[in-house]
Amino acid sequence: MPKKIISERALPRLLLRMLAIMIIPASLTYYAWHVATENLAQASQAKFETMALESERALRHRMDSYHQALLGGRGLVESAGSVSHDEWKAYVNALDVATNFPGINGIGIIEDVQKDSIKEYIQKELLNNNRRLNIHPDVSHNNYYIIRYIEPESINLPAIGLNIAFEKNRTEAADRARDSGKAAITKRILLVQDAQQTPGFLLLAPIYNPSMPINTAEQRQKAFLSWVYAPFIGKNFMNDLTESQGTTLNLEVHDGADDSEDSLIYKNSTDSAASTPLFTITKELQIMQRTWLIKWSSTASFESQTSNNEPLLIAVTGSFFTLLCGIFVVTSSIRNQGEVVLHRNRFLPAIGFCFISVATLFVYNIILQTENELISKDVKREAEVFRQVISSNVNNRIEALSRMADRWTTAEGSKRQYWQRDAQNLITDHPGLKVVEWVDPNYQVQWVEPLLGNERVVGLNILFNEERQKALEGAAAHDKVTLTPPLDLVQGYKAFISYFPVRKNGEFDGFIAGILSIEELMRDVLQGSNTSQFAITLSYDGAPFYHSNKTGSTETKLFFSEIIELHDKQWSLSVTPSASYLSQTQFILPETTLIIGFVLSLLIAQLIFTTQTAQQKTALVQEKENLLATFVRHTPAAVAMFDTDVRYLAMSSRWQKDYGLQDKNVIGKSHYEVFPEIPIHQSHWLVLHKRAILGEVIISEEEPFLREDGAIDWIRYELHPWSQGDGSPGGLIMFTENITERKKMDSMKDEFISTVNHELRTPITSIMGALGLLRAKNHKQLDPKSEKLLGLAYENSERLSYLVNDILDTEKIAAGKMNYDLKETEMVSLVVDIVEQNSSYAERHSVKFVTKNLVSAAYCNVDAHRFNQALTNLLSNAAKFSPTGEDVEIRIEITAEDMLHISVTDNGPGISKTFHSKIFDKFSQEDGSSTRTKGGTGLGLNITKTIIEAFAGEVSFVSTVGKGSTFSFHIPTIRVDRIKDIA
Amino acid sequence: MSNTLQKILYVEDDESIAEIVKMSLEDIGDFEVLHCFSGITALKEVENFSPQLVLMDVMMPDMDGPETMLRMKAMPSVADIPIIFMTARAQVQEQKQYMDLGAIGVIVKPFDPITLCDRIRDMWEKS
Repeated sequence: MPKKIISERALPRLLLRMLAIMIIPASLTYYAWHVATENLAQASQAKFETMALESERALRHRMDSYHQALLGGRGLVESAGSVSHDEWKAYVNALDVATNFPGINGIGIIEDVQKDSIKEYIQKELLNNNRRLNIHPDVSHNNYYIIRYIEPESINLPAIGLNIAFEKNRTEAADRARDSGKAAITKRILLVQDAQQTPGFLLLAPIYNPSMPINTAEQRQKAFLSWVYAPFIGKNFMNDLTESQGTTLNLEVHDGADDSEDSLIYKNSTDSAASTPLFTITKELQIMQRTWLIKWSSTASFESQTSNNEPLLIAVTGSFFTLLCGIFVVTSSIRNQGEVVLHRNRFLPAIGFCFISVATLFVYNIILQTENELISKDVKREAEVFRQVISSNVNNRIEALSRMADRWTTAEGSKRQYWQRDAQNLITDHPGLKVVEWVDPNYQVQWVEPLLGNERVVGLNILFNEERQKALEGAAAHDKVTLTPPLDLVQGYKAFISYFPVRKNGEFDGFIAGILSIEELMRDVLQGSNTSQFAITLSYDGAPFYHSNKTGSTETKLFFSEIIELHDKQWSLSVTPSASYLSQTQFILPETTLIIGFVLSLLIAQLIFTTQTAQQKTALVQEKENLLATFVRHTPAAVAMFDTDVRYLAMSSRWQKDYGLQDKNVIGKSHYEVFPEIPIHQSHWLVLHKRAILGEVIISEEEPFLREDGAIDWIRYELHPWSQGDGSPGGLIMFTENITERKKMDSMKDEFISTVNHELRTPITSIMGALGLLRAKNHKQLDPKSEKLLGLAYENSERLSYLVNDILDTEKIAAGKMNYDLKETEMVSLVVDIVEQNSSYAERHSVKFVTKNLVSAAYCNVDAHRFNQALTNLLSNAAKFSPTGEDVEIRIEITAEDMLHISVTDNGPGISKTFHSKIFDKFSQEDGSSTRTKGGTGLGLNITKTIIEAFAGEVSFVSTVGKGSTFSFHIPTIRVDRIKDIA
Repeated sequence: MSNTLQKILYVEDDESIAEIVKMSLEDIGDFEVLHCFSGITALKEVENFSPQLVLMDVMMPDMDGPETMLRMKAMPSVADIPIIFMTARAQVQEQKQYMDLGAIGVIVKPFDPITLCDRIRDMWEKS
């Protein structure tokens, strides 16, 4: 059998199975790819948002720190009443603007002067500071807002003496600051000192007389002294807000709520030809009483950075996985297709299960790792942001306090009234800063602001313990700020205190101390931060003192720590993703993969198992079918099986050979299609087939079959029905034997026998005729010897004649060609006639036939001629074997069972017992020697028996050695007339 | 036609048998016998000889017994002459077949030349 890898019939089935198996991993892959892509987009969006937020914070922080710087200046003016040019210069220098306030152009003081006081004002300035102010430009209205100081002066020369009231934007901002009591910025303006005339703005903070109330706008106008201000050039202010700016993030700042070119304050990218950014955020910010429109957009660099290979990896891995599944199905199918699988591999389902499971675990691991990496990245980035935010905010407060301390030192101490105002301002402007104290050089708290609620603190010695003492004394000695660790204060909240050593006349004059409530500080610091997504924990020296998330449990495995440097202390910051973040970020993908993978493994195992079982079953059935087909094919007879429509189902090779169908595929075809001559010329077959299908067994010993070419085939056939499993007719099984050859042989044999018959008999006829005539003519004329010789010659020619007859009869019997013409015959007269015909033979043997008839007439169904032959055999045997002169008795009787009983009894030598069993065999003679005297062929009794049996009769004999034998016929009668009077 | 059988046309191709049968018929039966060696000769002679009986061998070359008989039956002048076949084909069926063709009897070879005439006469008389 040719071995095909995949049969044509199996191919579509295999493809279907392959698709079915592949659809699950393929869908999974698509889902994973989709989620990963979404995930990536979300992660990128989140990252971008974080960058924008970072940028916003940096902007606000920068603005706050400048504001702080201005407030410092305000504090100086308020505490000192008025400030000389040198004092201002010293203050600004101390701030180290270039280092600490990048983007600021300078810090100055603007004073409101009436137009008619201008001359006086110029004189006073010349007198006090030895400076000649060039007031410019002149305006029509009465109020001149004159820039008196601006440090560093070198880069701001055009601004000195400038009357900012020359222009309404500046005037409006100044008025707003004065009337609101809060710092304000101008609309977008072009600074006079900016040679390039790029967009910028002014930040102005009002200064009031500390001894006057400033609760209403009117009060503020009355108490108003001057403005401390800072001019900004947009690009200097906004440049390098964050690391991302310009690399991954583009920033555009507009004054007001619209984003027109006219309102543009800052734009880091001038590349307008760049393609539309993937991510943009536009936000209106309230900055110092003005609305700014900020636009952040992603850069090409960011977009390329964030497009990582994860979706691609998932797609490739998934496709590979899918392909593996497909290959697995195909290979297992091909493996099983090629051979008959009687013994399935028990391990194959398990191998399939393990294979897919391991692959699933592998993929699960990859996805989990990727996911964790993503989260880790986020956590790390967030931790950095938190670190910056906390660090800058806390330091900002420390710096504010530090500047207060600087003012103490600069002003050689402070009046309590001014100190209080300064402290109040600090507390107002710095959420988290709860209490400001002045500790005297003896480490005793002297001044407390606010006093309310902190009365107990007054007079308290702050040297609680050795460590504290060491720290404070060290700070005092080195003129450096010192921070306490987080403490639980008697006021009932957790806080840390920063101590700033101050000097008066060069001598240690105690500390300015700020108590910062950790809870309030952090609340302010983390405002707008991502605390819903991430939880932060602050620890000092290993002991946590602040948790942003007080209730929800967080995943502790994924955390990131940063160190926050705060002067002489270090805080440890730990950021963990919150449950809500994890639920957002951690997708069901890994678990889904795991579940689907395992389900898939089970499915594959089940599929393999069922496929195997089915294949095994099919193989078993196939094997049985093959066995049966082989049996049918090699059956040494022409057999064919048909369905009810007489279509071929199976046939033996002999059938094919006998009917010339070797090279034709007739299975499934109608018998009448294969042999069109049947319905045309032999329509009786149609009836026969139908009868057989309906359940009849039809047998014919010989029948001519006319072939299409006109030839006649002789066939012997049997038609048998066959039934389906449910008993309904299935069709027929036809067995035929082409006996044409046999018929030919038979006819040749008949011809031969006939010829031999004729050719033998012709000379015998002549010899016997001649001898007969000779004997008749020369009777009594020959000498006894000659007559005896003549007699011997005649007897032997007669014997030869019988021999020929017997041999021919035996041949006929053997060939089954002995024909009987059975007729109802009267047997008594027939027997009498036959005895009469043979009496001459008896005479020749010098015996006499004596008939004893007990019946008048008996009718039997016999062939008279053949009966004659049988009885003649018995009579001639009896005559031959009877001693001379004896009688041979022939009895005709009817038995009780109405059987005709004809017996022939002689008084011959009898038959020895050893020969009894062979008496009816062919060529059997008791005296088998070559010297036998009685003649005969040894065929007579065999022929006799065959004839009598053809009449439904029997032949029997009784014999005693030395006494004689009786041979009898028993033939059934049809009717009988008995002779009553014969005894 | 005489009431006793006197003239017999005997058809036989075998010379020896013909001699014996002729001898038996003439010497024992005292019949007037015309012997022909073939069916064709017999057909030529039969009208002239006008026998009371035709005794005819079955197996003969050129024209066998049954054909010769059929031809004779086709000749009006001789159609009524009874025919006895002599044959070595001793089968009952064959004998029946000959009888069906119209023969009045069949004598199986070998026969007893002494009783031959009696048997022929019996058959002739019965017919």
